[in-house]
Amino acid sequence: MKNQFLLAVLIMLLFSICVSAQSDYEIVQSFKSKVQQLEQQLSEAASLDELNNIAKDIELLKDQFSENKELLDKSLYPEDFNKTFAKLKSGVEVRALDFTQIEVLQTEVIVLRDEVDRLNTRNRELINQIAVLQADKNKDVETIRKLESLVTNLKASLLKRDNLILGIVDSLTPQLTADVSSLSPEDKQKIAAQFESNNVLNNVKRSLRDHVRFLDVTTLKPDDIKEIKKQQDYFVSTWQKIGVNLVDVYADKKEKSNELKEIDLLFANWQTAIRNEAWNSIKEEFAINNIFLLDFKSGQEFTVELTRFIDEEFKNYGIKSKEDSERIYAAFVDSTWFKSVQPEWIPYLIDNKMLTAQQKSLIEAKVTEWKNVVFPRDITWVYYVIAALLLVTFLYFLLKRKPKTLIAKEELKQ
Amino acid sequence: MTKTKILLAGILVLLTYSCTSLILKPADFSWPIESVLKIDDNGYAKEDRYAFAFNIKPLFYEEVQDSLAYLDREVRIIRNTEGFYFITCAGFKNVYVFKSSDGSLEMENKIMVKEAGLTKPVFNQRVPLIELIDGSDKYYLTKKGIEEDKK
Repeated sequence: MKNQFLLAVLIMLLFSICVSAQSDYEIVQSFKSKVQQLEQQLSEAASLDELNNIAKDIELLKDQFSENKELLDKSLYPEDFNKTFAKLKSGVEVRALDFTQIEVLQTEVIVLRDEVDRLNTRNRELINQIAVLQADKNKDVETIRKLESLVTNLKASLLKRDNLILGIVDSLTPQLTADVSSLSPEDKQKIAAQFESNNVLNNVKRSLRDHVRFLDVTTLKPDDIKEIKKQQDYFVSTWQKIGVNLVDVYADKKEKSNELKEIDLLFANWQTAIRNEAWNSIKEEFAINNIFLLDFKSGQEFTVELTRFIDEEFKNYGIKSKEDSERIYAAFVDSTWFKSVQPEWIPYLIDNKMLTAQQKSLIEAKVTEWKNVVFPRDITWVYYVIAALLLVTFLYFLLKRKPKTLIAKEELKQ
Repeated sequence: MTKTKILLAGILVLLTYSCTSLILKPADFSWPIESVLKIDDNGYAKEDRYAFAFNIKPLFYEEVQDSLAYLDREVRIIRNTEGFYFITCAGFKNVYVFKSSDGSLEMENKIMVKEAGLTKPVFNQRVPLIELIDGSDKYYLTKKGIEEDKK
């Protein structure tokens, strides 16, 4: 027992000699290096638990070096002992906030992901129902009402799902806001894993395909297309912001890089589908009134097709019965062109640079020309007016001129 | 004659009075810890915190008679409360005491510490002394030399 006590005293003595023989410079250097290590650990901390351990280490370091506070206060210029720990603690708080935010966002992502899955199923059903109803040639009022209601629901549902997908992307983007090219391969791997676990790329692809399919099975009005275009612009701009960084994240994964290329292609398809939807809807407007036009996919083709149709009617004028010609004219011009195409579609086409003002004037001139052929102006009244004028003039001169016998009598009197 | 002497003494007193320089005291020049300076290829030791640099080559010549011995070496330097610089290096037998002069460091004293050479010297500030530790040996220095009673 006595020996053990002596040994302990000896060890303590040796320890105190060692401690007292330590260089102040080394104490300061060791402190600086430990602080640097903790700062590094703080920036690399990957979880809240890890952060809590670092906070404990900071407290431990403070205790360990508190007896050298005076030396450190003098040596850590421009910092001091307390400032150094205040800085470390504020670093812990900032990182803790990051983790809390990430945890909240991750929970949000799980909720959003479930909702997206539910909407995927619902949208698929709605699209199928619409396709079935659209295919029905003999649509009654009830079918049309049902169809309109389904289209409205589907449109809202697609929009909701887009917003949910963008919500997921938003929740994951805090990790993508930094300069991705400067991230380590491990960090890139972590981000890629999160995007994959949330099925982001697949959901974006599915959404884009559904949009194209929605446009395929529906006939829309310009206001609907404007709304969809707005939605598309928002989706595209949001996706572009993270798409660039994702390319970097997936730089080493050929399969995923190809998926990103596929998404770009689907965006292009959606854009084309929106443009085509306008042309198809216009064609459908004419078809409702039994005017069957050939396909057109541009302003030029539209102008050519309309003028071709009118020219054809010119040729047939006189061959067909007058009633037929007038019926086709009325269906084309009165029921379609002036009723919906000119007031609703032409401004949309011009606003979206799908039709030029010259092309519009050309079609209008052709329509006027057609009217003149089908309903030539009745100018008989002009002849009547001329005849009446001539008669009035004749009578005027006739009355103004005195009869010759009367003049002879007056001369005799004189 | 006496009058002349009194007049001269008066002039002398006036002159002495007018030539007295202004002194600010007390002043503490002590550094809290030593600086360990790496010597560059040109033989200059540069201190970043206190922003000064000096040519170390003559010191190495003085110690080992080789002005190129500074290559890849580190010197340890500390300033005491009076403003004297204490400089040494592993392998040196002496600690050199310098005071700052016009654009130079002027040697004040050369303190012999260990004939066999210091192996791992470090300085600590122990106002008013400078502590020199070399392994298990400890020395307390002033500009004049080792404080024997403190050793």
